[in-house]
Amino acid sequence: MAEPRPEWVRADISIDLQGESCPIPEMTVAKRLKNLEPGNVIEVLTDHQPAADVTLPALANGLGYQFYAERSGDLYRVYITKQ
Amino acid sequence: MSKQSDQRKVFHYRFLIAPIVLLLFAVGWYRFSVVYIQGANLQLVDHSNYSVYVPFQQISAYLQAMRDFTYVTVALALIMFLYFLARFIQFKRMPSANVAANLETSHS
Amino acid sequence: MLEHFVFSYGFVFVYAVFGIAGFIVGWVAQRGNYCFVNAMSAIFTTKSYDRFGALLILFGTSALATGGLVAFGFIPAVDQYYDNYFSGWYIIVGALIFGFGATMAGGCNLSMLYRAASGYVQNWLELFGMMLGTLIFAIAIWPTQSFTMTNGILSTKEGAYIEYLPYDIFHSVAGWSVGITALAVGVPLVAIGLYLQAKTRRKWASLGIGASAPIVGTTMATPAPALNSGGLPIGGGIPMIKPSSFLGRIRTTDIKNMILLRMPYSVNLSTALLAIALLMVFVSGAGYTFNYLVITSSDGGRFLEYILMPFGVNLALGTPWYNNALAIVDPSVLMVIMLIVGAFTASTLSGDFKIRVPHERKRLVIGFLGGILVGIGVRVALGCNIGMMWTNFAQLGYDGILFLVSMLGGVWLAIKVQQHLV
Repeated sequence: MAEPRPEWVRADISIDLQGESCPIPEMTVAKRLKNLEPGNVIEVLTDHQPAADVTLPALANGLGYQFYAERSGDLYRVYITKQ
Repeated sequence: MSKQSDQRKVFHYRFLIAPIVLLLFAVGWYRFSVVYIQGANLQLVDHSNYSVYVPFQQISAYLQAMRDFTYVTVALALIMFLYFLARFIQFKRMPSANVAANLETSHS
Repeated sequence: MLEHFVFSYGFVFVYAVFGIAGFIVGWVAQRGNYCFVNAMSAIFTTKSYDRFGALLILFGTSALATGGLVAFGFIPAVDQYYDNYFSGWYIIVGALIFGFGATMAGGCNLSMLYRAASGYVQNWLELFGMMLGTLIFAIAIWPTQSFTMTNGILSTKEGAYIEYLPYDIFHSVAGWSVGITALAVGVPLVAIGLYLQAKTRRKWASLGIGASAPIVGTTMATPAPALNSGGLPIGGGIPMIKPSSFLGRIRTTDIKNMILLRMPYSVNLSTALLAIALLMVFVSGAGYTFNYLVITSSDGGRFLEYILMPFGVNLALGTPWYNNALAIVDPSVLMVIMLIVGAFTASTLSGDFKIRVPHERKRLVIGFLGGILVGIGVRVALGCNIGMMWTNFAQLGYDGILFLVSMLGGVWLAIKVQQHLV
């Protein structure tokens, strides 16, 4: 089952990675997450399903960050935050 | 944001084109196999290159199996085309943009 | 191949089973986002061993399954080891080049094909690069490499039972020796794979991930979004449905969502289905052909031959390697064609099909150049991650582990380079 959108989901920083495939999305986001202030939310726009399904969740999980993803057609919006 | 709203209001015609491409690929590959792969194999016999030559029994088995898979793939492509055509017609008939957007976001 | 047929159903059946297996592989790889390179690069980029663990489970399960069939006498041992590769310097060097090139290009041979079928232009260029790399290998490298193989220079002089662990260890290819070897190879691989997956998920859990963060491996028991009169979700994007893991429960709704293509396949489900596809070709092809999944001979080697045929060029007539090492067509061609069809169908029906061009055009150049390295690497290594590494574990050989370690090294190097390019 899918969960409803959490309240913390917003786009303080937006990164458009449409057209990019592994390992570019996770490496790009990992770089940006290094400087992420607690409470800020990164929004990642990607059309690469493995990024939304596999690598970005793993990246967030490995760092202990919150993660949420939703899909509109072929566009995935991935939100990661450091609470 | 505008990119998302553009996506919501447009039916992606690629989902009508894709089954046609699949059908053409399947038929094209089979015809290519019959004409060129068989021809190249016979060329190997003419040049006495038996190390990479494929015996007649095997190549005719390949062509027979490929023909059957072509039939199945063409049928699959036609079913997919009709399915997306039905979704397209449903999309066009929806009066409100909001419902059309929902069809687009959900449809895949 | 030996002139004996384990089963007497004929080549048409063999080709048909290979085609079906190819369709399953393409479909499952697309639905499960299965990429060997991604599984290895995740170790270095996201510190996740989940997918790498799945690879080890795949290798171990394959070894146990094929070894079990031979040990209990269903398949003769000769059909497991007959096409075992030579072993030598080229496995290590080739795997290193392949791992580097595939990571730079954006996918291993399996993911290259299914992503190309899903519309990734970068992977199309990787495929063309691989064809060119194969030609470069054939002309510039193969004569020297085959000399070293023939003369045993940092190389064994033959494959088959020489590379067969039951023979190497017990000097026997009897059922008992094959069975013991299969257990010795397969059980530790599966155990290590499960351990790595459990370790990764324990680590995630210990970091205190909140309930609002969907994690691969958990499922959310929350109400579905509100629907309009047409039964479609109202407003906004649709929250992603995360696949449940093998270690967690797979619920009925998960199965339904997977069948309806709303949800990707979990990594262990994909692993199980791929292992089944390997078994299909192992059993059906026994005695008829190279009875393992092979990709790059077709897409890297034969496809270039085929492209040039309408122009009156037949590489098999005079070009090194093409003229003595690669049959003009075999069951793997049908397998690869149906792999592409399976992946294309899965991506179209699930809505994932889209022509994707990277914003940075340099990615296309990197993809093409990486593809050339992939073509060179897989031919030097006598096969790719599927046809050499995975296959060799099922063959109960030892080249698979050499390939695995070297490929990891190549992936690591490429990650270091990519970090400067990002």
